[in-house]
Amino acid sequence: MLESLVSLESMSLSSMDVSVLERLKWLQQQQQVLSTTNASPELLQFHGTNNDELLQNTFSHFQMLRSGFGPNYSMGFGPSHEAMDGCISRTNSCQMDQADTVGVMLKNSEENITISLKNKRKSEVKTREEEKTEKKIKVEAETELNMKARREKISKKMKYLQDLVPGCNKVTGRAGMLDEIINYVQSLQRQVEFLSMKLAVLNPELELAMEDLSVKQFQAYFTNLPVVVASKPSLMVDAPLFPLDQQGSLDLSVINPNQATTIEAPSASWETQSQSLYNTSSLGFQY
Amino acid sequence: MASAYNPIYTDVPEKDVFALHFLQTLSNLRTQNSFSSPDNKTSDRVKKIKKAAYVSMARAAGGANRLWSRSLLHQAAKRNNKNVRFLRRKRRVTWLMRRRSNRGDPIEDVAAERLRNLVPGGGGMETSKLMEETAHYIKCLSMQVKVMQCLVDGLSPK
Repeated sequence: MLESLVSLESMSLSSMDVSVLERLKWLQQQQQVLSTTNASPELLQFHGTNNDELLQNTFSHFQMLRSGFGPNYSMGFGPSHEAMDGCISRTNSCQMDQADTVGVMLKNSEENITISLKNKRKSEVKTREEEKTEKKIKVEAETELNMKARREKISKKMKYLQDLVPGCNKVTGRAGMLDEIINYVQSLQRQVEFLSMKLAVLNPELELAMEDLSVKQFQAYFTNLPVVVASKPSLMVDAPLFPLDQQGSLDLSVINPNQATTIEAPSASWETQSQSLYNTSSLGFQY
Repeated sequence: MASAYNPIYTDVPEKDVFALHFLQTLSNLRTQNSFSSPDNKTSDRVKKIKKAAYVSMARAAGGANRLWSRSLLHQAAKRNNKNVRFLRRKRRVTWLMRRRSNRGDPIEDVAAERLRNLVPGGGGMETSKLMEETAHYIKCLSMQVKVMQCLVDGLSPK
């Protein structure tokens, strides 16, 4: 029985539960001691005499031992069993872990490779992005310079327009200036339309004498020319008030003789220009 | 008014040039519509005279030298369904590109848009170029107005 116990103990692979084995060994020693003291005669008796009494003795011994170390035994065994199982499980688990680790190692390597690749790509992407940002910064700087240059140009031209448009000096700022300019342009266009309406009303009366009309109109503008060419205040600025019914010769008589020379030159130019214009066809646009 | 401010050429020819051109166009009008009924007086004639005024102004101002004049003549030719000479397709590509790069202040852009609608041919110009064109356009318009005023006053009965 003790041998069986010992065998059981030996069977236990519990390297973990050394204390239990030690206890068992101590038990064995005690048992041996006991057996040497008591058991041997019992064993002898067993071998020689009745088995029942020996069996009973051994059983009682066993029971004593068991009672003495019952709990330990049970404890020892239980946990040993469990330990065995645990060990087995542990070993199994360890084996599994090993396998897992190997797999994990493989996976890790793969992951590392992928990670490294990703990092490379990221770095590449980062460099590209950096380059893009650098380019963007450069472009932005350039555009800022361009914007400044454009603004300067526009401000110059706004000043020029300010001189052109009457009444623009009061208003400051770009928006106001531009509004004024827009209003002025609109007013000019409206004036053109108004005057064209007037002309349309006036024209049918003079449609008959076309050629005369042209000459008369030219002569009507004779008076305008001195306004443009010369700057003498004696000249009538309101030249259009000049009557048209009279012949052309009268026009010259009214105007100062001093101006005759100046007028003659433009008149010649008038005639030449008018002839050229009438003779030559227009640029392809006809009305 | 010297050109000290604006080194860019914005000179406008004298009044007589305008007058000549206007008279020429008017006479052409008369030759074309000499036999037309005088019933349709007001609207059609007004329109024709207005057109004649603008066209003559464009021609007097330098024909094809200026953008606005060019576009004016272009429009006029389109309406008449005549062969248009000043077809420049390359321009369209460039003006598209310019428009994309034309990012000015928002305050300016609103007024610039209005100007573009007013000045003929202003859709394809940058703001700086638009300013030049408006300056020249204003000058020419004022000249034309003066010419027409003279004519009207000369023709008006006393």
